Amino acid sequence: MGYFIYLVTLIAIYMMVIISYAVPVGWTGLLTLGHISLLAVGAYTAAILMTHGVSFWFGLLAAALAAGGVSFLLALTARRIKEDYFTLITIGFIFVVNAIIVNWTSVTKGPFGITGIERPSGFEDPFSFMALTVLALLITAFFLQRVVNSPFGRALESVRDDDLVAESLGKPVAKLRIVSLVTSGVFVGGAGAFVAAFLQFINAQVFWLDNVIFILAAIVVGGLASFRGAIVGTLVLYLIFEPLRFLPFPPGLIGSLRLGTFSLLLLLVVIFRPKGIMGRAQLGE
Amino acid sequence: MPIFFQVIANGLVTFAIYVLVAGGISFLYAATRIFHLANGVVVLGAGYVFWWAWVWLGWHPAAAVVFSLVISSAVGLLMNEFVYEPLRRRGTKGLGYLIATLALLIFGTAVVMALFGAQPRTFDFQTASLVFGGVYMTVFQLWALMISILLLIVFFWIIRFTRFGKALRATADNETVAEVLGVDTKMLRRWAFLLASLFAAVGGILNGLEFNLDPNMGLIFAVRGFTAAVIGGVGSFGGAVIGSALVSFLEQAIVWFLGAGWRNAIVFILLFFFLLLRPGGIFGSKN
Repeated sequence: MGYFIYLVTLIAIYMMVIISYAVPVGWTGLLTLGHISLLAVGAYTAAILMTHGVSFWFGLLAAALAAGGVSFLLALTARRIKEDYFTLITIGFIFVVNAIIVNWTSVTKGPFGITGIERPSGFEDPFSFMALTVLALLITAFFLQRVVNSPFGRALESVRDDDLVAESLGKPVAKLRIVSLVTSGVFVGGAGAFVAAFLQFINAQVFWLDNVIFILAAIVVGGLASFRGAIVGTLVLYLIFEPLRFLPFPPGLIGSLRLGTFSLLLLLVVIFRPKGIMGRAQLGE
Repeated sequence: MPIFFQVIANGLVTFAIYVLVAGGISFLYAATRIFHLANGVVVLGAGYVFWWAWVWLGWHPAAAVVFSLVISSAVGLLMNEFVYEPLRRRGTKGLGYLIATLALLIFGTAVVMALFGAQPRTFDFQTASLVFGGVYMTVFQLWALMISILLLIVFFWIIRFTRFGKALRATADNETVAEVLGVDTKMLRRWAFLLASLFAAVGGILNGLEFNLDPNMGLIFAVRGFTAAVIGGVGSFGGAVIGSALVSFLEQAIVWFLGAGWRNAIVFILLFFFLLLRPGGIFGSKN
């Protein structure tokens, strides 16, 4: 039962990240890899505040604002440059955030990470924290669903399909890109606060490549520009990987097995079924 | 002053390795419109195969070098044949290739980690140190620099003066026109991947002997390679050389004055400004 509660909480947090990630990638067609670092910005903001006596709720708000702000700076570059260069910039962004976390030891505790993060008061036991996380996921899903099904969402899709046509029809392409990245950044930052409170310990390793490839594979396997696709993708990847944990592999091999499974799956989907399980779009058509 | 020259000397060593990777990424982009980040896997694989044949199996080092070059170019060719070509047949553009190459890069890293473990592997290999007016360089470092420069000259000669080079430049200019004029672009891409993989493999072997082996090197080389290529101007031979030199010297200066922890971050901030202010790179067009 304890394992079940743990798993539901973990998947709920991942889904919060993944459905937020699906908006700029699936709907707007911006292949960012930097969301894992926005998650780090949110988690660290919340963790630093909470270990200095600030409540979870205020930490959550600050995490969302901080990640939204950083996302805005990153989005400014998406206005001017070619789309594949934007992806390269976001890879660079992962390295920059990682270097700040590891080297700015007076604030982030460097490689040791931040320990002793507490659960929000009133939600200390695993079950009620799980309920809170699922509630947060539902709120996120409800809001983002409304956003992408609005005329605004369709404008985003026109940017993905052909930004020149969108521009000539009078859509503010640069602004749409920025708004979609910042909206998504705010929710990912909020999810970061949940990561911090859930794990109660964070370090740079949590926000490194394993999770970059995981969230990318989840939305591509599930299918782009589809909410159900993102959710199904997350579940499929979990169900493929989770049993591996119970097989008698040496612990050193589990990490590379995880990376290898996700990246191979991503590769196979890109080659043989570019729209994923139930996607409505594919990148680079 | 000796510090300045020592930084230059250290930079020359990393330059010798980076330029082999960046050059491959840059000219592959010109020939195929693919940002072949998975070239980092070739660098990584070449080092590990060389280590396995020489240290583990106890082969003669020359045989190990040949073996490593053969395996690495096969890996490069297979990636083209079974990943990029099927995507090309479907009419994929930029971002589709980018996801595929990222997946290849991570997959290759995972395979190396599974086969050889996550801990660094070392060679028991040392050469004498030479001192030139207070600046230290080892004999091996001089050799690495010479091998790299020699390969660059060969590469330049191929692009400039052979039929293959001519076809390559025509394809880079306009693929459809080149095809109409009788260039077999599919075969050309194979040769281009072979060449880029061989260069990257030499870089991987030199890197292993100089800095040891670590599974994360694939990603590091991929990002250094594309950073150098973009800063110099993608598709330009001179650009890849200048870009690699700039990245290498900047890196060594950062390591010396700020500490190794900031190396990746500051190199990326440089890339960031280049892409914002001059996306075509030093040698590229303004847009």
